Amino acid sequence: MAAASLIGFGLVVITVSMLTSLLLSGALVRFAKRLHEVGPRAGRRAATLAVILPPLIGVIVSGTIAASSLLAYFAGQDHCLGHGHHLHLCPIHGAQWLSEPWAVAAMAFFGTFVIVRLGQTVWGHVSAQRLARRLRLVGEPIGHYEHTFIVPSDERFAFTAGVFTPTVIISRAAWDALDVSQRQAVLAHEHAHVRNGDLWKRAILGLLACFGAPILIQNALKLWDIASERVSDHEAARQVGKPSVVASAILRLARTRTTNQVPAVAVFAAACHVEGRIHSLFDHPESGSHAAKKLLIVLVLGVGAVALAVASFSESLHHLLETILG
Amino acid sequence: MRTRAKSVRPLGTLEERVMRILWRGGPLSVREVNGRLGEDSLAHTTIMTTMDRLYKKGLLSRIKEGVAYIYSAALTRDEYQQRLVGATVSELMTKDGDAAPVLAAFVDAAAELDEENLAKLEALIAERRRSGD
Repeated sequence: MAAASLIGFGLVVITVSMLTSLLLSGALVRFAKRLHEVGPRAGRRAATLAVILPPLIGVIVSGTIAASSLLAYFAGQDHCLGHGHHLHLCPIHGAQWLSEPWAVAAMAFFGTFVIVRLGQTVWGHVSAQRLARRLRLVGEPIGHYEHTFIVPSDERFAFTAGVFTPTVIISRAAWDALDVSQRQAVLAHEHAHVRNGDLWKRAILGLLACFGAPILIQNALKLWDIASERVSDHEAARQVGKPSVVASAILRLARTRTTNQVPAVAVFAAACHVEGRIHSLFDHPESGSHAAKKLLIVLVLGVGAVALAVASFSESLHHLLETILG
Repeated sequence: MRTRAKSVRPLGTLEERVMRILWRGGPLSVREVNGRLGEDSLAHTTIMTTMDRLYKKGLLSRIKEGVAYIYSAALTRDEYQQRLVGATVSELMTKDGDAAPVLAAFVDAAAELDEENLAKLEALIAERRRSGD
């Protein structure tokens, strides 16, 4: 077995992943409006698929080629012996990849990128956990809710932080600005994030996005963020019984910014589109669960079909990729 | 009276105890603070170093009386906590895109809303409330 063949297979994963991402993220942008109308769960599922599928398909293609190569070799039908004019995508005869500077450089660049991104993400979560703990220490627990605190601050904000122990933080100023039902709406919204595991799911998607088409994959993540906010809005509306209560809470906290009462501390990366969220609560009461389930079925069938197609045409695909890369 | 303004950081155990004493009553000298630690009193120099550090962090102010400094809290406990929260939230929010999953804010401050849009949304919500939504 040639360890250097991993360079070749790695390049296959990246190439297939980037191309698939280009296709899926492009489709996501194309159908974003339609997904918005169908419901946030469908939008979130579609965005999830646009991020997860490219590396998954890349691994399927690469794995299938490696498996078929090995099977052929052990069956005495080693195809590599028949053509020596290019590099081999083969676990046995793939040692030549190491002598190709461009291939080594590409894998080194990509490997460094993924490792740095992984380090940044892990460090981000560890430090966020530490900061959330600091807020818990000065915070006052809210009723019987777990990991939910009011912190002393004149600025109005409400958020959830911490992947390992998600903590809901609401500022005293925000709490005092809301009426009882609006407070319930805000808590229900944040607890929906915790219940749905949005923080850790987003962390994983952020890492998988390394394998996606630049720029387009960021759009997919943004769509996921917005859809997740809307899912939490819908769950909060269901819990408090009235979408208008959730909408009024969103507006109450959003309004503080126009009066310059919230400085830069309330800025965070994921865009949430206040106006869209409020219209979504009233105009699209369905969360799009059915469509999300259909998308999941499509995913399973799609991945199955891809795996089947790759397995069926593994030999041709193998040669094609060898010709392109080698 | 001299103070030093610095960004607020969390207090260590001894720093917390010293601040509590000064929040309860002050101004006090190092010796007096150490005396109020009761059974937990420490070496004079340890308390002096701790209070000097708190002064440098901007949490204490001090005036010189003879050869000794007299310290008092530069911030009330509430002010300290508010600043600590502000600094912590700021640190959380200003992380780059990779830290985005760390947070799920109820309202995104980056969203742009003008007064006209807000008024329209308010009218929409009022209308829906009237219709029982």
